[in-house]
Amino acid sequence: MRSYITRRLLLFIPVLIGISLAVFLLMHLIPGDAVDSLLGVEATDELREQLTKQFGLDLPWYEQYFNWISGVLKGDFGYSIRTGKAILPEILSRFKVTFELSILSSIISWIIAIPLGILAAVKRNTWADGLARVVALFWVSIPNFALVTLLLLFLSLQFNYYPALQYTAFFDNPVQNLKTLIFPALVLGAIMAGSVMRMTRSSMLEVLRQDFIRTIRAKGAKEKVVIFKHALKNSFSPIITIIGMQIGYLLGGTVITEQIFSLPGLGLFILTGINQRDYPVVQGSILFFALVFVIINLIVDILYACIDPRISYK
Amino acid sequence: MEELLKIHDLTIELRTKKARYNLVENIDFTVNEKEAFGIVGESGCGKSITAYSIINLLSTPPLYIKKGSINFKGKELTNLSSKEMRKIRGNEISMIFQEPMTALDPLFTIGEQLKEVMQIHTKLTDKEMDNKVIETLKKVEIPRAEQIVNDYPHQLSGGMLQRVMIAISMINNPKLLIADEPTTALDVTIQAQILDLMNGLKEKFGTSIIMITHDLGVISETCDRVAVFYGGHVVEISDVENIFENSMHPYTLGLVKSVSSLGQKRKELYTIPGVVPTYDQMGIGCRFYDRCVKKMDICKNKVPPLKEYSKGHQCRCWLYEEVN
Ligand SMILES: Nc1ncnc2c1ncn2[C@@H]1O[C@H](COP(=O)(O)OP(=O)(O)OP(=O)(O)O)[C@@H](O)[C@H]1O
Ligand code: SF4
Ligand SMILES: [Mg+2]
Repeated sequence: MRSYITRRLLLFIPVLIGISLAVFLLMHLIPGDAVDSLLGVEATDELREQLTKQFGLDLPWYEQYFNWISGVLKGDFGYSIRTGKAILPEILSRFKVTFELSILSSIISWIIAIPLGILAAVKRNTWADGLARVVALFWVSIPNFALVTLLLLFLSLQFNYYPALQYTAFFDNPVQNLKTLIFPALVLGAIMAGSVMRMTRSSMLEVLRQDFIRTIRAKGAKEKVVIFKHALKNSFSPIITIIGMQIGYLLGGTVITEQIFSLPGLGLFILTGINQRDYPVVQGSILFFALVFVIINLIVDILYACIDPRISYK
Repeated sequence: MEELLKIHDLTIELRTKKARYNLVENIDFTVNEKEAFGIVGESGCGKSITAYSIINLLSTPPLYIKKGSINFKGKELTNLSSKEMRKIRGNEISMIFQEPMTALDPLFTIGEQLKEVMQIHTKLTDKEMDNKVIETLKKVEIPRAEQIVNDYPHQLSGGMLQRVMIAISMINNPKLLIADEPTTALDVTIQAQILDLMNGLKEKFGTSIIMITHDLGVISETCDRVAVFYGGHVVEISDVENIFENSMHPYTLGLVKSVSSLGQKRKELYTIPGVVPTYDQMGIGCRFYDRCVKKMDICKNKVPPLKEYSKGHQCRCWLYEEVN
């Protein structure tokens, strides 16, 4: 297992090089550059040239890439063209918010989706199953922004809730922190619940059809044991896969939710970076996001092996 | 000999949106204490569903017991609540299946799966259960039992897994063991070992066995009496010797003919021409009618009764009825 993890970690290197190159080139293909957007059209050519030089934008692209990536390897993601602030600390502090929101909303989605998925599988082809399936299908088909907006509208009308203007860190004031996060987390959790529920249902149904379930019933086990001890455990791998993917995306930041609930998360950071042609910010954030994503994938793979003795990584 | 299980007039129905079909019809047979009772018949003739219905493991829907009684030690099983039925399963009546490779939960160790059936039915302490697990694995002749308890199913061969299944089914000393084609999925040599083992256990534990198979050879090696199924009907019941020497039903005759000699290497010499009708193509008469070489007019439209023609020998065929 340990050597497997080491090998997976080594594999990160080519993956991250590929992603960083792709991001870098894409950013350079976008028309308009940072200097333009920083100085506006009025600026003199001299000033323009000076800044271009200062940011190293006059170098050939591969040299720019090399300068950037060698900084990154030393933990220096560079400075924002816009604000002049160091990028990595900013990413990390925003990541904290995004991370907390992701975990909270994931937990909420499991609490909603897994019991419903099990229920739909056990009561398959009854009205309860039908209802759950229709709702889930409807749910995953609505665009997220519509759902978020509707929910916010509902919350503000019903509970007089409005998004906090200031984000409070958990360790400063846990109650205030949860108050700020609970509604966005509910919204995201509810959105994610649709696909988790569908996956739980289909995975459970698949397992319940298998031979060994009959053996457990033939032993005289209660239906509760059949479902929770055996069927659920056997259904977990695909559920974990989809949960892992969702957490991966959430950790990349959820622009709309962050915008609406005015949370200083990673999504908004990237979006602002793109709008302002702030190359270093966008490159750095996306590279960071990619790193998080491959780590999540690794964790998911390790979890598979923890659940299923047939999977052994050597 | 005392009766242990008595099935009478059992009919199992398949309900679809379009229609209802009797998959097995008017099943009648009795299994005695300490007896090995065989059920033999071609694929699809209803052996498994008959067996599942005994401990209410039918997949309902779409399968339902339409009528009939299943009496076990004087208790009517068809009326039991699911709680009462759970007390019987794995405890008084246990079951093993055709595919040992898929019959165990892949995520639990062999030891855990053996213990589970004791946890359900006994109040033994953990230590006592551990001991009993090892002891039982040894009884089913599993080598290195102490290590195997910590193995997972995928680490064992099909033959070993079937031994584990037998251990699970015997660990609570059941009165009746239902074995649904326990050797069909195994190599010939392993088959013989498993059958030997089951014969031995039957003697040791005094358990009755219902041995389901499509192979008359297996019947001759393990059973005392046998019921021949065809198309959802019992067509003949008899002592095993009698079935080979004095078979009455034309279908049984064909089956016997297709097995060259007992105990030795069997070779298909003869197959009964034609195929089994599926449940939606059954006529209203004798279900063997299409393939029978001795068919008569009456056979087409009237099902013959299952009747005892000599002591312990029953048959369902118009040939033996005096009205003709
Ligand atoms: N769940 C089900 N739904 C519909 N039909 C079924 C179901 N289970 C069994 N049948 C039908 O009932 C009939 C008897 O099936 P059964 O499994 O008892 O046969 P069998 O004698 O055990 O055959 P085999 O030797 O193949 O195991 C078959 O025609 C089968 O198609
Ligand atoms: S009842 Fe008639 S058709 Fe059926 S087996 Fe006997 S002789 Fe053949
Ligand atoms: Mg069968």
